[in-house]
Amino acid sequence: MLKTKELTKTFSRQSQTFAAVDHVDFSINGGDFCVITGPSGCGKSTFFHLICGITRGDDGEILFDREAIHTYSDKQLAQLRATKISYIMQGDSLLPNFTVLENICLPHQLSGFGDELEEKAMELLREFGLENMAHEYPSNLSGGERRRVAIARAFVHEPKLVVADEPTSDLDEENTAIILDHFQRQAKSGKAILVSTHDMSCLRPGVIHYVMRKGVIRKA
Amino acid sequence: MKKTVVQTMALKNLQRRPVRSWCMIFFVFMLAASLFLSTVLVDSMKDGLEKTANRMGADIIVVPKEYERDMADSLFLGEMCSFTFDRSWIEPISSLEGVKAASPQLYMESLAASCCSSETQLIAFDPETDFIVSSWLSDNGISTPKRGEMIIGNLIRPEVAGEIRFFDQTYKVVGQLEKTGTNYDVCVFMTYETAQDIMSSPRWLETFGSNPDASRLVSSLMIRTEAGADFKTIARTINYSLADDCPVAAYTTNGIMTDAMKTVNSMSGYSVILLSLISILVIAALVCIFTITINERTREFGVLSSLGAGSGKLSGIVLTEGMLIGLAGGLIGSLFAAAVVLIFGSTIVTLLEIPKLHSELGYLLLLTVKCLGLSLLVSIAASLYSAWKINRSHLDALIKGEEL
Repeated sequence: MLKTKELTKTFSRQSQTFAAVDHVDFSINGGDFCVITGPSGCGKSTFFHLICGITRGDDGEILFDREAIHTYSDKQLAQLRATKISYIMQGDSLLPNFTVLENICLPHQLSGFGDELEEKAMELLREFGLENMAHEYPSNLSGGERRRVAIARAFVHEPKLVVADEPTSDLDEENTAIILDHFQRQAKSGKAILVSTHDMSCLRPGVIHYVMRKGVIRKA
Repeated sequence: MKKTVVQTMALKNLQRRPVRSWCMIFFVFMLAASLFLSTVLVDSMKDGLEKTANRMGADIIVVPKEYERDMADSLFLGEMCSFTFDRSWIEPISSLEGVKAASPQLYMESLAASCCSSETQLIAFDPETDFIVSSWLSDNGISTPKRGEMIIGNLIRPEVAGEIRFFDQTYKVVGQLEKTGTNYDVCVFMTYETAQDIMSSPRWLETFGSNPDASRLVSSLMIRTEAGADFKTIARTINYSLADDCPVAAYTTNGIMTDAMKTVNSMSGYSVILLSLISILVIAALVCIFTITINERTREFGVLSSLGAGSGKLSGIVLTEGMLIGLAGGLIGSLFAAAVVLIFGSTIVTLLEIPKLHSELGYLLLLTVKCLGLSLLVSIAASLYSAWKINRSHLDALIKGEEL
């Protein structure tokens, strides 16, 4: 489904250039649940930004369903994120002015999806035990509830690949388990799930574990 | 009509930030209300002058020397004036080359008449030579008054229908003019014979100490020139070549109006400058508020963008927010200003000493549309900068919440 070849991204800091992502060869297929662990600053978020088309690499290739998406225009990449690759960013990513249900549906409706998303959104909220929160605003939700809403938003439009940047950070065991259970169910249904974490409880049986250090990804 | 997702999101963003939204709406409100009120004032002043000039119907007015200021005040502001010269000067003036017709008018101050709480301007005219009042009467379907009869202006309300009292004598009201919005609305017209009756009354004698011969008195001589005649030359002839002891001065109607028109025009110019400054200030204030707000919302836009929203949609949200603020501020400002005009119109007329304030529904509606248009334009212009900033920002910078 997604494959990177020699993917490289360099940054300059204090007049020195360093590779945040250094010639990375990586692949993930439908049904895979991959977890990347590694210390802070090792390049996990940059790698995720690259494969989601949020930032552009300096070198290498990114193939999604055999298409070289690193050559896509900004508009094509936005379309790809709107339909096939879903990105869950670190921390709180809910829109404060919209209710839970609106948070899940409106961003996708902005990209062309219709009202049918609402039914699917309610299904996901039921699955996460948040059906009574559908019309609440994010300020009335706990951290764990907010994270679950963000995850529901990432899955509501049935993308092929979901990329989650530290989705369980700062969460208690119960919330972590709810989220990981969901990821596993989604992987079993054929989606590709790619997660970065420091949380070793994510390394469940069946999970493909990668380690990233200084911009280089290796299978654990 | 179903709202688009962009409209829904923009509206929700404004509703959920009421303080910020109302602050921005207030700026636009100030702009719209200022534009509305200043336009009404300047238009009303110009219109008052133009109506007066059109109603005068004379090319040249001859009045006693040094009375030009009183004349203009009388015509435009509705102030009372009472000045005369002797009838003997009519003949030499009307025989000048280029003078087609010349008709005298006599202005008298009334005491508080039964009709009015204040003094009323009494105007006597000569039906045989008149070419001004008669044509208004004819426009209003009123025949020329006879001795003892009067025509009243539109705002005069006699206590007894069909009758009006001046200097303790009762006169018959034979017609009322349509509203002009000028001081003519509070004038009473009559022939010289009726004027003589008033001046011969015991009450007049008691008040002014003598009973003058009205037929000898002229307050103003209205002159209409021949087609093609140069009325400026005729006015100069009256002023400089008629006689050394000539007690009259001739003014072209254009000339009498010039000073007043100049004042109104400069007011109009000042109001344009003031409105331009207000517009610039409002744009600057809105640009600042939008920029601050957008910088606080970079992560929000980053989230939307990471979920596939294109920069066009993000800019669309910002521009729609600007448009909604413009619409709300423009509408509230215009409606507020219209309400001020409708409710406090007469107070404004009194305070500013103008004949009439424009308050016709069609005019107010058209002005509302204009103010709404400007408010929209200003708000969209202010939000354009933020939209442009979002458009050129890198997505990863938005996600990280970096300052734009």
